[in-house]
Amino acid sequence: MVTDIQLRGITDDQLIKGCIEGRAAYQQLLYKVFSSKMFGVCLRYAGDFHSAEDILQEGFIKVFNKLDYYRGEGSFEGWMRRIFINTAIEYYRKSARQYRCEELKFPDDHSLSGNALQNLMRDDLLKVIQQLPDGYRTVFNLYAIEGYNHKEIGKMLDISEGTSKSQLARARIYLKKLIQAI
Amino acid sequence: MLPENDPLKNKRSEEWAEDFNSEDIDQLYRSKFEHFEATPRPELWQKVQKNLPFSLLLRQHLYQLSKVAAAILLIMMMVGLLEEQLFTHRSHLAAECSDKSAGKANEVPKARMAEAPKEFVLDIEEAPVDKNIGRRLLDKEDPESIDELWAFITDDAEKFSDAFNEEKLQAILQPLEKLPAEGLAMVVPEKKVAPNSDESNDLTIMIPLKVVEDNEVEHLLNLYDQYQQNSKAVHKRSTE
Repeated sequence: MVTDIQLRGITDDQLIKGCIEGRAAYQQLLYKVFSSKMFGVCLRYAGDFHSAEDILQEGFIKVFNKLDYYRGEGSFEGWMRRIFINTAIEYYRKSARQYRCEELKFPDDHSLSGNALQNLMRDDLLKVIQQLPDGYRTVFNLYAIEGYNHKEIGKMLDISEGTSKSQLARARIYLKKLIQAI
Repeated sequence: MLPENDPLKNKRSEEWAEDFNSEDIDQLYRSKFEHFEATPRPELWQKVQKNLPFSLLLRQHLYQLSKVAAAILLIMMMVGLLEEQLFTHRSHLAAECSDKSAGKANEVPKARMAEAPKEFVLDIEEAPVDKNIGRRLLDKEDPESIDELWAFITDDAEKFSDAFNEEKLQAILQPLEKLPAEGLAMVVPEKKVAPNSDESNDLTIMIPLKVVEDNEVEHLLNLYDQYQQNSKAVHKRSTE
């Protein structure tokens, strides 16, 4: 896969090496290349914009710290993405806010066709997913978008497979109701 | 683990699944967010930089310091080399001066030099040099050797016989061969200078080779014309 870095004439390996050596220019370049992609991940896992920024910041610091451990197995972007997902999970664990306790008001039930769903704007969908309780949102992201199975999600979040399944089902219900409200 | 005000509390997920197509929602989010990118605020990078751990900052400083150290080392090496060169140059000069000043005082008499032991002299015999090597190739008397020479140059002996015109080559080379470097000697017979004289002391005139300047050409041409006219006049008188 050709990344932006290769387009600039620097390979992933050179960039990583430069960052490990502590060269500020290379660190900034790595941030420039990957910050948009990783911020997209952070926004999906975060409840709001500021939390997403916090996760992004913590994630990059972790990336710079752990670059020595990257062994070149799999894509570098995939490796970074996993770090950001783990950072987001830790962020909500630390803040001890596994679920947001806001009361969600749902409108009357409407049936949603596939086409109507596809026409929804990304910003609206982002707002919807950010309204989900933290646990539901995390499970939904891991399952529906990242493609992890319930066993893996259970390990990552330190919950049982059954809990993961029920949280996913509840997340879907929430999302359906919230999307109808748009 | 559910919040108290969770609207889904006390309900089983199977109950909601009846009229709900979960794959639509999953598919929708996957398509919209799988490659989702958003640009963070520019000042966020400064925050990241500020919060980098000390070990990373130390690495940065070490990297900078290593560059400075390398530059200093390079400069020191260059200065050292220059000093060494200057020192050797000075010592050479000093040695030369001392040799000159010591001069004759240190001169060993020739007789003593001859008596000096020769253990340290390496007696290397010079290989005999065949001085005819070059000449052999250019020997005009031997047509085979000329062919060989030309074949060496053109890599084709047949071409040589086609291209080589000995007479023409000699005609081209002759004036150059006969012109002496010191100048041209012109011998004028004594009888021409003084036709009535009995003595036969010929007059030899040395004409040095030199570059003729532009302004001298006209003068030389005039002299030549005068000479021609005079010689014609002399010839006319003698025939009369």
